[in-house]
Amino acid sequence: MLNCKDMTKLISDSLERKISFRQRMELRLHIMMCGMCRRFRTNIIELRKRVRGSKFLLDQAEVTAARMPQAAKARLEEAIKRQLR
Amino acid sequence: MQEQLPKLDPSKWVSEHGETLYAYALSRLKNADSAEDAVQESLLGALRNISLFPPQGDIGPWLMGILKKKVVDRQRRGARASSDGTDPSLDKLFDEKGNWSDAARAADPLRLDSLEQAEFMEIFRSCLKGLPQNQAAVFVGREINEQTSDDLCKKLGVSSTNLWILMHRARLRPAECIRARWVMGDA
Repeated sequence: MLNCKDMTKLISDSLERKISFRQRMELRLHIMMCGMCRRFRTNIIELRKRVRGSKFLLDQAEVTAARMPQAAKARLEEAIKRQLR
Repeated sequence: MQEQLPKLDPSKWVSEHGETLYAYALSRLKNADSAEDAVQESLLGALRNISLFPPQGDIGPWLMGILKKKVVDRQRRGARASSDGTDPSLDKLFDEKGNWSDAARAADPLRLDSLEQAEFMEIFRSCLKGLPQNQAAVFVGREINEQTSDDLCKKLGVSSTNLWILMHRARLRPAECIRARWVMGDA
């Protein structure tokens, strides 16, 4: 029997690869009895859906957030100056 | 010493090419600190190897070429680092037997579907920033860029087993982070 920590790994894996029949049965049985793992599974499936559905928004947000902070610029300038000396 | 000094003025690199380089690094690494570090490594590396710069060349693309290599290095290094071993911040979620901890049980259930899109995006972005770089790299690759596991493994130079471990950790964390931010209502 897997504990909940191992079960969350199996649940996560089930979104990444085909898990075995045995594993599928164990997963199903476990989430039938365990509300927390059931919740984890619902959450990560929902998270995937929301993230993939928001791809366009994410890219847009990225363009606006891609400006280099002034402080970072100053640090870079300083590093170059130091090396030029 | 340097005859083409006006053309090759490294003190202007940041003001002239900084934004472009930074935007590229950030789009790949999804982390402001890593992006800045990668840009810095590239500029200093370029400075050290300035004798390799082709005299007829264009400095912008040359710097970008160096940056691209640095970014890939970072992604690989990040993906390999700590893909085994335990993660203390996740251990709070489970007790010593590997069952959900009391703290995890006491938390309010996360209802992503009740968050408005804009609100979700804001929380999600800030949570992503808090992920260790290796986890963020796999999570972004799989969930945002929708790359296949095989492609991502090749790109990051990790085994599929490691990829699944990183995905597992990355998934435990944003769920927690989103829950925490949402419950506290600070986003």
